[in-house]
Amino acid sequence: MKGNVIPDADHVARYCPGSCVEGNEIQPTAFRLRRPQETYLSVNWLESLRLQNRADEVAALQKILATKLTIGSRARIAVLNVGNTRAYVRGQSPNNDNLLVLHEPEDADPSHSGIHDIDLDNEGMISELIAQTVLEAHPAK
Amino acid sequence: MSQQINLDAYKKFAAARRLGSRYPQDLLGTIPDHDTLSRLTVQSLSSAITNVTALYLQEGEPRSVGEFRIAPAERPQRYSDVTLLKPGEPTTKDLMKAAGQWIAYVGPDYPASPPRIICQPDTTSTLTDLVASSLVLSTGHSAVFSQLEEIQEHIADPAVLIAAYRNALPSRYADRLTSRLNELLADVREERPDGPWISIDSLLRFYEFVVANPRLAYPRLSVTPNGDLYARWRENESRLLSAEFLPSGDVRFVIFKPNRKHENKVVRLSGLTTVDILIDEARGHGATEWIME
Repeated sequence: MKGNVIPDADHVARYCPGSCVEGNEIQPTAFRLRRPQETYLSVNWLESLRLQNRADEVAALQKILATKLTIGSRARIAVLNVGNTRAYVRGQSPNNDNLLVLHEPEDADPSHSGIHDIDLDNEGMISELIAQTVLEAHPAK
Repeated sequence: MSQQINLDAYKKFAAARRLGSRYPQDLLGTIPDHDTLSRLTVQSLSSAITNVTALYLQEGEPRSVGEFRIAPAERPQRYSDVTLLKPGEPTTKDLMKAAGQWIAYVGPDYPASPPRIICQPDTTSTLTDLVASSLVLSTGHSAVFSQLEEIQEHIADPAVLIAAYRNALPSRYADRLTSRLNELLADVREERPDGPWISIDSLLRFYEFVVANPRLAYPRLSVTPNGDLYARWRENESRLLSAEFLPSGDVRFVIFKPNRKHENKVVRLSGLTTVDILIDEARGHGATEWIME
């Protein structure tokens, strides 16, 4: 349901354009808001897809993203653990920023979610911290 | 020697014009080829053209604008004097539009070959004529760099700028950095067909920083959603400097550095400065330890 808090134990995935990737390393720019379209960081809640494993989740996400975005050939999908990312940002940011990760389902994208409450005045710092919590990077197509 | 060759060619060309010839093929053959031109220093080239200008003055004022466009009064000093033709072969329409102006031409073999600045004689000249008298502007000469810097804001295509600046970069990673920037440009063009691509002004601020600090280590590079260049020097989780080069000349930076009194703690700070003193900020926080080689 829209606005539900995603459990800390779960995982979300963020589409990272090729211009935010060097080698297989996701750069912090992948976690900057794509304004004006984004008012929060768009992600997808992997557990809500109810699939067996990460490979299936990534494959499903690739299909969803292809319907919404122009997917670059070097683009990646970055996987974050919700609790780990929130705790790291809260603990390491100068203002102890408390990110909220909420379910934001769309008709064609029911797993769509968002990372909210990013301090726009300190977006550079927050994006650096989030980038340090990336668990996995997968091809986006 | 080089200067003499160049001047001779222009003298012959000027003489032919005085006699009413129109782009005689035998004279085109006397103009130095690209390889020769690319070996000329900027000073000798500039001097040669100055001499040609003097020659013209001795021979009387031009009778019409079109007639004396064959050799420029002076080489372009600013990019506002130059019309940029997009990569690929310019069309007749492009050439007509740029009649009598200096034009920068990016050939079909780009990026293997750098952009060339060409003086267009008039609307009847052909591309072959133009290329025969083009000035190759990627010789690594500092004056070329200064000129490019001066005229930078008028270039519309980041690919041209990336190619033009290659020789101004530290030689130990000039190829790698140029290749990476071209890769990023290809990425943004693929993913954002309508832009924003890489901001020209942001790219220039980045070049300004790298060229002014040749001992900088190779950075990780990416592009923000706004199209600004983001450079990152990261040794580990506690030694990091990242810099977002804003088109205005400001830089947003983030520094992570070890807490000198608490081994397991990290000092994290961010700020806004200008590109010309970013290195001072980095030095003040000890970041030059890991961003310099």
